[in-house]
Amino acid sequence: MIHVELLLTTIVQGILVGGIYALLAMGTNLIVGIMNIINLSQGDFAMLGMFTAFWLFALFGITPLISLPLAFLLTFIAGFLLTKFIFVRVFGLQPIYSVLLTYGLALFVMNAAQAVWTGDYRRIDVSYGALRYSFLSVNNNYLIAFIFATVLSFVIYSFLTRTRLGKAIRAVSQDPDAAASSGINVRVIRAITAGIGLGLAGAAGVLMTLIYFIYPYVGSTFTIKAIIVCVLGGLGNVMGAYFSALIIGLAESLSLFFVPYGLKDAVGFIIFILILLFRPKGLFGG
Amino acid sequence: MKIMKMRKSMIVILALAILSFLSPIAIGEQTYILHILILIFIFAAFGQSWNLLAGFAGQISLGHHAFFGIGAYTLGLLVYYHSPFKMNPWPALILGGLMSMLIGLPIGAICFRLRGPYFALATLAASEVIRLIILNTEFTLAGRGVVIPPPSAVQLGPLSISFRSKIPYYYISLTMMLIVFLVTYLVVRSRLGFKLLAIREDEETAATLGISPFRTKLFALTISVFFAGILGALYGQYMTYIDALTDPGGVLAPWTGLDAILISLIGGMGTIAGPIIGATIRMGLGETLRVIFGWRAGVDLLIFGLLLISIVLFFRKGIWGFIRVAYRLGGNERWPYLKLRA
Repeated sequence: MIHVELLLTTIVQGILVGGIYALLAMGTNLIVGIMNIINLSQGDFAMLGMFTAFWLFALFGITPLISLPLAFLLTFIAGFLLTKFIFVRVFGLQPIYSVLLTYGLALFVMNAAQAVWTGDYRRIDVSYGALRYSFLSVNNNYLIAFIFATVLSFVIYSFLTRTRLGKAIRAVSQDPDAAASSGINVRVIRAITAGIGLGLAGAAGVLMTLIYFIYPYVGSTFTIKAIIVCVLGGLGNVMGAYFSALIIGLAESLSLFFVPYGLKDAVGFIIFILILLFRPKGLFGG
Repeated sequence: MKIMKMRKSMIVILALAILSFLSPIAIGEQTYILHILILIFIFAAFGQSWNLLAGFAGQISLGHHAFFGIGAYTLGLLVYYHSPFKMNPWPALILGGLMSMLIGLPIGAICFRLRGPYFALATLAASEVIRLIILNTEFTLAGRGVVIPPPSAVQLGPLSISFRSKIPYYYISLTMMLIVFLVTYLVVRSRLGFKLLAIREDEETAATLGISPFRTKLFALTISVFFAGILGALYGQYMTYIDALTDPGGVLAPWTGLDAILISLIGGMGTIAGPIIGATIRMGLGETLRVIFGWRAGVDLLIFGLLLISIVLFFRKGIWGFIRVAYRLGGNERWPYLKLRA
């Protein structure tokens, strides 16, 4: 019966990790939708969120879940300012320049962290115990991260669909010129959206501290995972991103039955290439 | 007038080439200077291989380090001490390039179905897959790196590309760089080069003119990754150790791919002379930063990240591109500058 237990636990764990991917991917998705810039520094802002949570915990003993709003706010400000002063300069240029720009930004952020905080692996020692059923055991850290990520995802979703600001964001991402002519301040909306996008990365980073080690180069894989999820769900499709994140999380954890642990991340990339080849508009796209 | 200009630039290039062939006489056995120059040559050529694809065909590869690494690993696995092949490094060098081509072709065939930023992302994903597979396969020594026989363990001399002095390496890498630059020049000036430029400027229009973007880009990629592989192999043979990890210096590290990008971008994307200028600045800056900030890992890469950002924001033409515009060199209507606007 041990196999059933292992299988169930793997499935559940995969889905729970998918919650975090969802949060990251939603941020990437918002930024792609609003500015047509694929953000290669998403994971590195999540890393900044992780360090925010770490230092608040290490210096003041604040539990990561409480520092979530602060991490969101800090990365929100970063995203707002970046858009206002930097991203705006590559609008209308060939897309290669925005790719190189965010790649440079990623390198800058991760190596600044490396220079300031060194490459040590750090951990926040918070454990919420585990749930055990007959065939299933769930680490509560994963569960809590998943619940927070899911709630936040739905908050963002309702924000986009229900509020005036959310409607303005969707208007700008559909047609900036038409949005501008109906009185929306496109520049401010862009900066706010990118702020939310990076803010979600920061928030995801805080939740990641419950599961992963904290070190400066942790972000790169998450950046790529966020992009994989976005492409799988269809670029710009926020809810598609949520469900495809769960699929990717599940696929990665199930792959452990077939490939060595070190190759786990390669599975995501191979899925990515397959999607781009066969369903370039994503699973849920037309 | 045009011929005169051509002659002038030819004379300048020839003079520079002769100067660099003679300079070891002046430098002598100052190993540090020679080492830096060798790295400049190898990385200028590597930057040029990236430039062929990005600058002239408009296809940004974020995974070029994978091909550099494949070349290095191929050579390493063929010649290292316990290798079942125990091959001479010269054919291994060529095989490094060929292996990189062999792996690059299917990857290119997949990635070129995508365009613009999606191509860049796909190359990034492909390079990660290659890195993870190499680091997790026992055949490739699973991330322990490959030690190529040090000079004491093998017959020294040109046959084994192992020398006590750095001067032979200097000539080998210089020759290699000149070959890469010459081939790139010939490619860019050929029909293929014009097709690449057409694709870079407007893929749809190029297709309506009867150019097959897919085949043309794939051909450019083949040349590009062949060079990347052979240069990686040369780098591995020169360093005598192939580092698998992601530290700076590891052939599979994204930083290595970043070097190709930076070198090409500093010098000027889509210019032939750019990468040598870029490589000189990149290596000079790298060494300077190491002297100043060597005690703190990450500072040099942080500054390279900033450099990449600032070039994209403020200096997209690069140094040689800027000089070309300022002094109206070369870039006539037959050989246009990289278009900036979408």
